[in-house]
Amino acid sequence: MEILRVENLTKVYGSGAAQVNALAGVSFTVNKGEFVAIVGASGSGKSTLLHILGGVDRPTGGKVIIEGTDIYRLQEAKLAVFRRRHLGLIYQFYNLIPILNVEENITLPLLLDKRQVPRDYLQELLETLGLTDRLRHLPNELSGGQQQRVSIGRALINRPALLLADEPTGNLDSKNTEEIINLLKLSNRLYGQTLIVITHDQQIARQAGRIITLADGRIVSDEVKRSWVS
Amino acid sequence: MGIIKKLTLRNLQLKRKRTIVTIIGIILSGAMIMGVGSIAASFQDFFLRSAIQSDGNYHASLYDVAVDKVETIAQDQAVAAVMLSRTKGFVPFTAGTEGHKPYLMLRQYDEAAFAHFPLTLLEGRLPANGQELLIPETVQQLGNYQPGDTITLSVGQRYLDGEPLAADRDYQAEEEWRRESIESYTITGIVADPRFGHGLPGYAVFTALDAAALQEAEKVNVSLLSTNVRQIFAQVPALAEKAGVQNYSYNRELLRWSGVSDNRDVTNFLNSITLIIIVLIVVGSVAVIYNAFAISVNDRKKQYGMLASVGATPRQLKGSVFYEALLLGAVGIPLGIAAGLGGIGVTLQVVNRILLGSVLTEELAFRLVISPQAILVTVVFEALTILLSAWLPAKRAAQISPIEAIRLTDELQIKGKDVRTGKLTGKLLGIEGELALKNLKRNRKQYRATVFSLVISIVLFVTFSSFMQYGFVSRDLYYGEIPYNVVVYNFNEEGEVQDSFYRQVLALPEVERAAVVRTLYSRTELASGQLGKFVHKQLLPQGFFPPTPEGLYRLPVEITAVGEEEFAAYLTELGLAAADYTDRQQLKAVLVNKNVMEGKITYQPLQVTAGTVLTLSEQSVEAEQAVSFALQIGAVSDKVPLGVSFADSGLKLIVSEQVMAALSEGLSAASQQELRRASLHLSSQDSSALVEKIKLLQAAAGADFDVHDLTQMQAELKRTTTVMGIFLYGFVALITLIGVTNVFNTISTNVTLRRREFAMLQSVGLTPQGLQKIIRFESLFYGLKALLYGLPLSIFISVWMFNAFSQLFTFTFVLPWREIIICSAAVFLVTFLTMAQASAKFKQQNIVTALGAGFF
Repeated sequence: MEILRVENLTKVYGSGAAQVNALAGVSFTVNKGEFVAIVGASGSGKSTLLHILGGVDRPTGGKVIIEGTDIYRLQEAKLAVFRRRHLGLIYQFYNLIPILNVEENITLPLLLDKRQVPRDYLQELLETLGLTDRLRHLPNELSGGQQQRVSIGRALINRPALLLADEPTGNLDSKNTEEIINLLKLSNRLYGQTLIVITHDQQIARQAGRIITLADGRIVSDEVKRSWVS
Repeated sequence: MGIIKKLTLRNLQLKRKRTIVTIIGIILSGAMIMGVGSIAASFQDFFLRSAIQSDGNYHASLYDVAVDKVETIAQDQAVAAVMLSRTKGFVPFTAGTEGHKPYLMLRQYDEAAFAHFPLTLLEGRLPANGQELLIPETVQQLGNYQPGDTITLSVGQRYLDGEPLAADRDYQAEEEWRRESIESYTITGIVADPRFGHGLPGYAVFTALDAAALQEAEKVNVSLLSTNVRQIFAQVPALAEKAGVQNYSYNRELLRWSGVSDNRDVTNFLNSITLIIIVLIVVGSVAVIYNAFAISVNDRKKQYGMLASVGATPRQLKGSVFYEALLLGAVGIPLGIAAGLGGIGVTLQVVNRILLGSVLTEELAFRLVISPQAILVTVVFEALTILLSAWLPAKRAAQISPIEAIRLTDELQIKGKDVRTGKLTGKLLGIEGELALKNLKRNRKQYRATVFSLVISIVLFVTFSSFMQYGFVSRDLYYGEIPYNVVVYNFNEEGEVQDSFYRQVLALPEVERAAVVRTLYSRTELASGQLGKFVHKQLLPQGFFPPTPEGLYRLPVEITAVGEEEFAAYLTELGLAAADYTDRQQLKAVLVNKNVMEGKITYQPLQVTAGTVLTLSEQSVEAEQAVSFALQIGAVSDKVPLGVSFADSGLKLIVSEQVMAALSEGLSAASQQELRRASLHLSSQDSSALVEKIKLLQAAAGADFDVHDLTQMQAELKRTTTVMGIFLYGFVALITLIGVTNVFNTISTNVTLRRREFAMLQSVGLTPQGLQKIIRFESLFYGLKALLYGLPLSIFISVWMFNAFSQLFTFTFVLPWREIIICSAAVFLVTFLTMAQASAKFKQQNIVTALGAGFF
């Protein structure tokens, strides 16, 4: 079942001599439950692509259709709500709010939506993420790995249609990297979570079921692995 | 509490210093608005009570109302209280000394009238019935009465040509008094001389009016207090018609201070001024508070971006800013109101202490009036201020895109050309100066907001100081330069009485210098070439001295003699020979060729030389009968003798006693009469002791002279000016403080935000001194820009103010140099200190920590 469709996406920054064509016509689809890795050299446009998919940066041209909704036809407010309910974003540099504790950071999307926190699911998540005894800590009291796990928790709390991760392990050591990737795979297997992960790390890319390669703002290859059971 | 609200609150707690500074800004602003409101309310209250004390506590009076109509008026729903009064009659009073006041005026007041009319009981008690009498001080002194005395009075009415004269008509030489009855009265009390006594044909004495005993056919004056004073101008004519009378009047002073005036001008003027001041405060405050919110939003950009990426709607982000406004307002507004009331309360106490004894008394002093309207106005305006300030920042917060959260730096929006500085800058100022300048260019909006707030402070400070100067300095000059401090004027006494009295006064040991001043008012005609430049350029175009058909200009001339002693001293001072000026054959005068207008503009009225002969004629009689005479200008001087002040627009000639006597012989009777009257101008170390003694001499002689103690008047004026100064400078200080708050907030935050940047510079080798240099340059640029806009603007407004107030001559405009210098110094000081303080914290910082810090 198609969950994401990208049609002819373009993104241009600047103008005149300083113009940069970050994306020059990208089109592809993703089905529910897929684990996709997007790879490419620095400046290939992968971060730009992810941001546009995540609804945080508007494209210059083209469409992004998530679960049947053309998200860029939505008004800013509606887009925000959509983001809150249907998307989960994980960044390289954790981007937690420093004055909220772990629980508050994780449940932020729900709190913004003024919805009840499903305590069972939260408990389950915390256990899976190994954060049960860090609930009241502030981000500056956590290690890099722990902060990233909080990020994942926040991305998953809403059971989003799409989980988008931009170099989620770029700032972590090998041990933490392994743990994070396992967690992501777990969510993919356990909750059927659709994952799109940007990475420059070949090892991580090989863990995914599908690898899309970008270069100069274009897709140059789109491989599906026969099986991806790790 | 919603997560957004929780976040906002925590942010405020985190950035404690900024939160407090912003709240201080709100408090200052609220305090000022509250202050203005309180002052207005307290002043109005004071003048209202003052009017009641001097003019009485009633709104209007209806005259000659028939007794049977009184009840109708009293029962009218527009009327809250009535006071009945009338003049029973006149009693010839032989002990009186004033020729135009030969009577006692017997007034009847009912109980309400005694309570509401302005009488101050000094001794004894009020009359309880129609056989008891209240008399004023002067009558007590003249008739040598005491409370308890019983006196018999012949009461009658005044007639002119057989017709009865109205009670308030002044004394007519041809009038006739006819006795009606003889009454016996017991004096029960003494009151201070009533204010309304002047000009009346008799000294008012008071007895009780028994309203019940009045006959139907009789008439009485009805004064009233209205239930709704705002309708008074409609109510009174209606009441008059009901009562069948046409004569009525209003107690205008009281009405005016009750906020009711048929003279729209005064009310409008006061309201406009109050409104203008409040608007000024709001503008100044918005500049500060807006900046505070702008900084807050800017600071939290990443956070807002973060929230947006997780799905916060623009509305929720906006709500965060407004919630911040709500919290800060909820704390700041009540504190501001309290501060304002407290501040004014204290100020009024100080003012009372300064003015007590002169302008104010124990009963009539300023008191703090807490008016609910003023509080409401403050809350409304302050809330408005905060709302306006938060508006734009809130909008900006709503527009923050999630990308903000992802960026490592937030400078991607800078365009190269924005921060371009010329090659010259680099050469002149070094890399530090260049960095400083580029930095200011990068943060243009914030930079402008800070500069704007500084400009407002500068403008207000300089213009208010100018206002003080134009409004009050001139009066200061006027009294300040006069060398005598006691003056005795004679309006009523005959020549011999005056002369003997003056001799006695001059003999007093307290007198150090004295001038016996007599003035002959005359006029002369001059040719165009004899008039000074100033007269041609400024006075003639304004319409002074229109030319005669022959093309000559007629000027008034005051010929003054100052007594032998003083004139001799004058001549000595000028180096002139006495013999020249006492010659009765060759009449000579000294021309004072210096005039002073408005207390501060000096000029030379004439262009003549010694030897010129002036032809003068009397001014006190009609032109056809006026005697002409000639006077030669013996010398031209710019000094005046004791007792003579510089002329405003006419001429002054000083002559000796001998010359004056010679002149006087040929004049008409009217002029000679005029010349008999002299005034004494005395200089003394102890003016109050001198005045005491003069008053004693006066009482002993039973004479009527006007004695003035200028020292006292000068002191009073000084006190009043001080009070004005307190209010104005207090206001200016507060406005300036607001400006300082703003500068502090902006610059301090700006510097703190750039920790990483400074650390980076340090890591490539910038020395602490180099850092200092960058900071100094930035302060310098802030200050210069602010002064560049602020000073010309202030000067412009000062000039405009000068024009508006003086409506005279612009060429004597003086720049408020002192204030400009103070202001400039202050601006630089403030900006520099703020930056230095903010950067002091991290001058010693660990470079690596600072570099690593703040990916968030």
